[in-house]
Amino acid sequence: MKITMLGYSGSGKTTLMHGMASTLAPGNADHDYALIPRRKNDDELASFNEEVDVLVDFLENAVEHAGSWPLGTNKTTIYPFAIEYLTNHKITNIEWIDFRGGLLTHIFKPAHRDEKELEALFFHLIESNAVVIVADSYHLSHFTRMDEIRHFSGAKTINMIMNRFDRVYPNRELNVLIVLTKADSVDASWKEENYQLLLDKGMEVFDPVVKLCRKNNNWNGGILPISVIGEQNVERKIMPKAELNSPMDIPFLAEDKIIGLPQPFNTEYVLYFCLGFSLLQMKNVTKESIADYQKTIEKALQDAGTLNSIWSFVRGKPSAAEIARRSSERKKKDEESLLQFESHIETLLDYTRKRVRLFV
Amino acid sequence: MNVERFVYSRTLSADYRWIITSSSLTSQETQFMERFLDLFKKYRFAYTKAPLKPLFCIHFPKTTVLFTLQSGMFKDEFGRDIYSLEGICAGRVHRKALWRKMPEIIGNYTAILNAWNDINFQKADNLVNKPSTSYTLEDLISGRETPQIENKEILPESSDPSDTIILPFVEEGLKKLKKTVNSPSFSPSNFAFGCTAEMVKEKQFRIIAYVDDKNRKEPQTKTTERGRKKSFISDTSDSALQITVENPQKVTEKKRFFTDEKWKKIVNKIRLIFLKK
Ligand SMILES: Nc1nc2c(ncn2[C@@H]2O[C@H](COP(=O)(O)OP(=O)(O)OP(=O)(O)O)[C@@H](O)[C@H]2O)c(=O)[nH]1
Ligand SMILES: [Mg+2]
Repeated sequence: MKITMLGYSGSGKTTLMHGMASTLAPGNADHDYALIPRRKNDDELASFNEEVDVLVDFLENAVEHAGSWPLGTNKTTIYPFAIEYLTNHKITNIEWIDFRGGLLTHIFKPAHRDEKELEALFFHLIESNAVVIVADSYHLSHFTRMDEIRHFSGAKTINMIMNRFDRVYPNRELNVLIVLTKADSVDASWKEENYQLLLDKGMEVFDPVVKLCRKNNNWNGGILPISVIGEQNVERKIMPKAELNSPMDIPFLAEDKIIGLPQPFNTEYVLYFCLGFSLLQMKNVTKESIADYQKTIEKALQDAGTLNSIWSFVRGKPSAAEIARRSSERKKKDEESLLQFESHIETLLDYTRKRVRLFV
Repeated sequence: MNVERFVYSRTLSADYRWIITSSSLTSQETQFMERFLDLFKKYRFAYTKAPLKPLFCIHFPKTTVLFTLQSGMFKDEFGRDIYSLEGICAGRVHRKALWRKMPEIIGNYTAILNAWNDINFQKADNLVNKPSTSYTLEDLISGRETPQIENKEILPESSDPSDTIILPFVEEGLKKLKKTVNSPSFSPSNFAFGCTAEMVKEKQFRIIAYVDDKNRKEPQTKTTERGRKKSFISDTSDSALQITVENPQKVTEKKRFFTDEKWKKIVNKIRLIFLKK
């Protein structure tokens, strides 16, 4: 399985991933599911030493162990994980893709834009079972005008990308979760009745995505507030920028000083949503034959017209047919192994419904 | 001799990128250097404890680069520490001349390599891939404190050229590095002063000082194989050298062993000369 996070620089993608993985660290008595960082995305069993090594390497960057926020991501990174249920029943491997947020933040600045990275984004989207859209709750509550919120939170860019993606690759199955990060940082009124106001605002901001989810029978969508640090564990300082280069840039600096042991809130529901709905889709969506799937992908790749540069560069395989073949092989394998876990679908969706507001 | 500057970093609102770059660097070479910043980030806990900033000298086919890695000078708009890779490069024709200046550079590398002196951080969001101005090395060096005159005493170097010289990553090691590069018999070589074992796998280095990353385990996957794998950037002057992948744990041991061995060899050589006569 593959999950891609999309969000502006600083929206909290890396923090979310670490928060979720440390909440779902193996051996946590509070959760039935575990998310286990791995060295590679394969089925090979790791030795005990290696398992512990990888886990330690990963979790030392989690806020509660590092004692600080993660560093800014300077390169798009793919994190392989395994998902396990209760006593070591491995469900599946997943690849979690953490994009360098600057890629989206500067998408309209030719000098900053990296075409290869943008193409990579498209390919990851094509292969993803779920897209996690990440936006900073504070931006949603701080700015008053809708266009300002969309501009500064990245929603404008993300709405555009999802819209184009739907056009290039119609009728595909996709699960979209809008995650509103840093939910601790908004005023109390936004948090009342399970963050009702915040979620309303989020749906308005991402209205085009919400509409796509509702329009496409094969898409499932939802919205979820999260915080990795929890209430009262952070001192937030907002300062105006000393010199504002352009009124199009965010006019303030934010600094979140950690003053208490993190109490991640809702982070695990990101995984429940992604896994639950991916399983459901594999079960329900009328099975395209693998050959048809291969054809669709091949066509989507050709329509996108980006084949020759990035894919040949990344994988040394220049042909759309070859990529489509590999991708469909992976999908087939995924489906076969995942369908053994059909029984989890109801549990996962029950969990999900507790905290995620679904777009139905 | 002309040199150019480069900086890979981020600014207040604009993400990581080559802020200033030199046209003489290929994209493979810049990617190769970025890898060192990635590893610097990975081992940041070891580096924050270290007394010095790292210094790397790498000879690419057409250029020589000298760079340092640092963090904590600035914060971005989200309050995150900014990491940066800063350095200078000179064309192949200047390789020898640059090497002659090396002791002086080493004597003051943090100031000489610091590109932020020339950049207004607050206003740098729009700088991307800005071509470096050309500096004379003398410009960069002059105005800095003049280094003490070095005596050219015997190097802490073994007579076998395939040996890697291991120095400690402290002030004392820096002095030794200065002396070593100052030796007339020591040809321009790659060095990694303040590196991790994982960095050593990326390139052949003649002189190495390890940052104390003992508490960090190296990934155990096929160390030797990866170590032997040639980097895609072909080596020039040092192509005959073997990579010696050192286990950081063994470094202290090796250091002691090395000095003894060196002296034994020198004594033996002198004896041989006398015997011949
Ligand atoms: N109050 C609060 N602040 C948070 C939370 N999560 C992240 N932050 C703040 O947001 C900053 C940016 O978070 P990152 O996870 O690094 O953002 P990112 O999306 O990975 O950014 P790039 O790596 O630049 O793409 C952190 O340094 C924190 O200051 C949270 O749950 N609560
Ligand atoms: Mg990040």
